[in-house]
Amino acid sequence: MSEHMMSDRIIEEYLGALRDALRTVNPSSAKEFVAEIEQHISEGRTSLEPGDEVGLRNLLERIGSPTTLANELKETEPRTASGMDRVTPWLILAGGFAFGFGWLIGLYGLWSSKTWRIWDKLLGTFIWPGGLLGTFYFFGAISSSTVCSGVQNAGQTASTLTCVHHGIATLPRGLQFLAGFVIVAAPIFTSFRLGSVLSRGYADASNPRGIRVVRSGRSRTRTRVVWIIEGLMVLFFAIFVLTLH
Amino acid sequence: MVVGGTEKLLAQMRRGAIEYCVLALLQSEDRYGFEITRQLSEADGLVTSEGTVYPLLTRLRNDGLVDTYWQESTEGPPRRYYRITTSGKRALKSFIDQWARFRDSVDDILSRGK
Repeated sequence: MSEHMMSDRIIEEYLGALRDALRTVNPSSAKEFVAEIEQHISEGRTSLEPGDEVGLRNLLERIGSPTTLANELKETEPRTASGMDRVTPWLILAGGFAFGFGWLIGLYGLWSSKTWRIWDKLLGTFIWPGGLLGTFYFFGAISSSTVCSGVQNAGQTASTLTCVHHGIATLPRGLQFLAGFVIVAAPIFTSFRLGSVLSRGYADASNPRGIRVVRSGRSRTRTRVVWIIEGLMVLFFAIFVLTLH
Repeated sequence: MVVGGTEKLLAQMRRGAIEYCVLALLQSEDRYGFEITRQLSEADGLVTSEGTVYPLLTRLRNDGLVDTYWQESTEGPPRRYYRITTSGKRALKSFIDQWARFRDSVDDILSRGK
């Protein structure tokens, strides 16, 4: 066997062992990582004499054993959400339709998880209780009603009835649409936010990578925008409820 | 000899610190992976296995602290270069400020135990 072939075989064995060690890692991350290591080996070989087996073995040793590298990649992979965490935003949104139990299970998942912070949990609980099912109750509660008081005797042409209109119909049409939109959109937005936090993951005490607490500027801006939208929704809803009474 | 929990803690500290060392290396110029790992492995006790730097580079990229581009090389296949972003510069500045205080405090406490 020529010296070149021997070197290629050593590298192939190393990369094969690395691929095996990476079997439990996300395939696209594993593929990219192997490509990086291959490139690193190519770069390292340029400073070696052709057929320098000792130099090559030293290079591979400096890179690290396949097991060490696989463990490192697993450590630095983003935290994967638990199965319960993944379904919780959906249960909070639509679980109410399963006789309310689905929403209650979602509520348990929300409060027992370390993924979400207290404000997200309060948001998931109160906007709206029951999720999308809650919107139907809201529409029922705010729908127009007319309460009449007074006396109307049979055969009388003029009535002494006094009627008072309550509810959404008393608002200008534009506000009616806006109110309807907010009531429907709020639980969808809440679940979207829960899902967004889940995919991003918080670096807090529950995160084993506690040393990394710096978040990118883009992430901070996104969080601020979401909080502003949420604040406006809650403010609008409060004004809306006060207007009805 | 370091044992169990201490070894794990040191590994985590090293991992956290290396990311900022990478950002510091990229502040002066864009570099490719091999060059970054070599620079880091020259520092005593910072990197035990050169290959372990690559997952950190990927994470820095995912966090938006660095971005990458490919460039032809005269010595072989194209190289992936890493470049620090504005967010990366901000994160590095914040780390440098906090790191000096943290290091001084730890040194101070440890020296009292002597």
